[in-house]
Amino acid sequence: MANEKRKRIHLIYGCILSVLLILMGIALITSCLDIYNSGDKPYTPESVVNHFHKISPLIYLTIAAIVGGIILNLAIPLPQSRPKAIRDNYEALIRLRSKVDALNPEYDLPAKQEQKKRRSLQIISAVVCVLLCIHPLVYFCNQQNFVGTVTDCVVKAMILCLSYAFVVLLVTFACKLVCQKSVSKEIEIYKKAIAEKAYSPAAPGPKNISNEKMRIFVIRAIVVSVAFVFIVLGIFNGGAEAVLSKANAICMECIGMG
Amino acid sequence: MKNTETSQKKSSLGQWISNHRPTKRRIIQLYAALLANANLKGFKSGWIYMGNAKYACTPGLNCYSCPAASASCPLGALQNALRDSNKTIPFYIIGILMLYGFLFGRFICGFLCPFGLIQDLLHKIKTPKIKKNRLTRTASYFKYVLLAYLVISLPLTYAVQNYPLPGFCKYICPSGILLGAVGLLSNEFNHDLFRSLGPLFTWKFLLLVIFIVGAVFIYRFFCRFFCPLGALYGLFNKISWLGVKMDNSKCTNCGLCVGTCDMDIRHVGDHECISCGKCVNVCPTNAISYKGPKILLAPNETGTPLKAKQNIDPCDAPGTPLPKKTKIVRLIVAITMFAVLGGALVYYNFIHKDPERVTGGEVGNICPEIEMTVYDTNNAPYHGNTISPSDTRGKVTVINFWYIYCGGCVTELQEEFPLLHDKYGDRIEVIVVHSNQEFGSNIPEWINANLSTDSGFIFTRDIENEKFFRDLGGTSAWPITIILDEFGVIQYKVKGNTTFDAMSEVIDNLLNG
Repeated sequence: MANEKRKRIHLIYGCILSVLLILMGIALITSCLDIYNSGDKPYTPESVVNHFHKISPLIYLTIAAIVGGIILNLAIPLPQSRPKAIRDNYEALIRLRSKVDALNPEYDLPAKQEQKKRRSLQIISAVVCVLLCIHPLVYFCNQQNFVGTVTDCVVKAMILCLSYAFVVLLVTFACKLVCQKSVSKEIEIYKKAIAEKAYSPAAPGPKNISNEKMRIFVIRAIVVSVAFVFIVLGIFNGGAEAVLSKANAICMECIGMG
Repeated sequence: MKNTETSQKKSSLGQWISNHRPTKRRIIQLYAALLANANLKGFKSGWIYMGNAKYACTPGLNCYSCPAASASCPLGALQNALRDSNKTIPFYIIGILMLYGFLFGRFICGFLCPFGLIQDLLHKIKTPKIKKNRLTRTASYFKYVLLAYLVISLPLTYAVQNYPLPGFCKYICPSGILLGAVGLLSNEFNHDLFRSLGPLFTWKFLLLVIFIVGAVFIYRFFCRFFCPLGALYGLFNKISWLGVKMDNSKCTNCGLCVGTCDMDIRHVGDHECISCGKCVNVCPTNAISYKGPKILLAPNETGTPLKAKQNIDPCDAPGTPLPKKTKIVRLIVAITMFAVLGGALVYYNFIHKDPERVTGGEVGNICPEIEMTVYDTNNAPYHGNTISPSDTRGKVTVINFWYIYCGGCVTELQEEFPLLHDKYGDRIEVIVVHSNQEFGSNIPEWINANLSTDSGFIFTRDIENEKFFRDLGGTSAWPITIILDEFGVIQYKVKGNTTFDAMSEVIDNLLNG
């Protein structure tokens, strides 16, 4: 069978299965909400079984579709797709820079401008992100914000955190986008310079790998020593007992009770 | 002719089996999931494992309220330890997390986490997939927000109020619902816990469905965007002993590794890398290999570039023939691992015994007679060293069993029970019984600091092996509340939280005859 036909069959099957899965998810959520809204102390084994009995045909259909997909994949396997390459622009820029000792002035100036632009943008976005973290920090340090019903306090704090986190992520994302464009521009400048031989090549020299390895070794040694010291200290100050005491009882909140 | 056809079919069948056999990584994942949940008899008995093995933590996310859980969950243990951080610094759990981070980093996510395995299997369902992009890369930082807020800040904030609040476990963790709630509630012995389900369960079930459906369409949906444990381990990825590494001298920046990877990595081995090794086999210059002892995992050092189209688990990648010493060591390691798993299964399921399930203590029965020690607190109205239920005969008695690490118990004692004293005063007795297992907590000190001193409650400690609690049918879930009439007969019993209204209705009936 031609590859295009196979892909089409798999796509149609995939779409049908996606719809079934999403419908099953919605049915499960709706059943749960129905049970919850059905009255005081709504959850009983019987009510749960009854509600899920109603949606069981959809669940069985979805399971049958999944099994069908396995059979389809065996009978009409999809050809392996070639992995796409995603090159890291920063890495490419570092490699280009490593070849070049110094660019000629007509290329050096725009390249430095791009670097300056990126650095300023990163500093500004870092400062903005830090400033955005101040209010949530102050909020958490103020105990008055956590007096009252736990759920209400947690939800309020969560909304605050999420709002600020969203803004921080937005700022970071925007900064990354602009920096990526700037890096692409700088790569173009370097490529042009290299093509026109408007640079002085860097002398090939031994890379300083041993320093990097030593640094990692030292950090590892520190981390593992501190870890063992902490574990021993924790055993003596009752930390291990605390872990056991919690784990030996069912965490009612963790399983959704209370 | 027939022989040729038969042998062709056999070879194609053999080829099919060879193409679809579980990879070494999958086997390791299954092994780790089984070892983390070795207490399989828990599903049948309805008990969670309550033994000394829970001093240790599993490396991955595995709720310790799952009946099969053989050890503690590191994330739950961290939140719980932070709750006590106003008294003691949580050295133990921080040390364990640092040790796991140093040894494995996010190799745990790729090989040792049971919930990661579930997501991997869900992602195999053949639907159109949502590929990673710049947006998912940015969104992957959200798990650090959850780590900072729910795992660290919330428990610390409430530690000041001495209120146990494992924020992530309570509001987000899907492992608790999938492995804990479903595992426990599917057993008929735990059906009385159904009445404790409410808005929290509904919210978490909703999230669980979203995570499960999401994992079908988006690779490792929970791990990439929500898992704080992965966020924590990711910080150790660069220095971890096991994981994948890149030899920069061989790397040509072709980008095939990043393109093949389903996680939001920027380069191999960064904080998003779960060391699944998918990139190892697509690298045309063999620049990527596994860190750690070469004797355990094939570094894929074939000396010849592999085709980029191969989709072989790098643990299985054909390489140069292994030296005899390596084969022997691997055999020893494999035998040891199976011995450990076999030993764990035997210990948890045959040697370790659950407490005996007592069917007494039901409504209509006389309350068992147990003499308990009274705590010396600021509000001890009962001037005796010990008390038993018969000491309060002639009065309606409310007995509440609680546990200091149980948030629901604490909320109930702070919010519902004081209303009983306000309404009934001396007409009823309230005995509040803490588990005999205190694990270093100073219960009287906690009571004096956090509960009203003029409540009139009698605070006691259960006797050895929590006999009173067990005799009333208690398992490992707190709280339990019972109400006795003036003759000591149990008239009301509830496992899980109760409310002032529910207790008041029963008490009013008893007082009015």
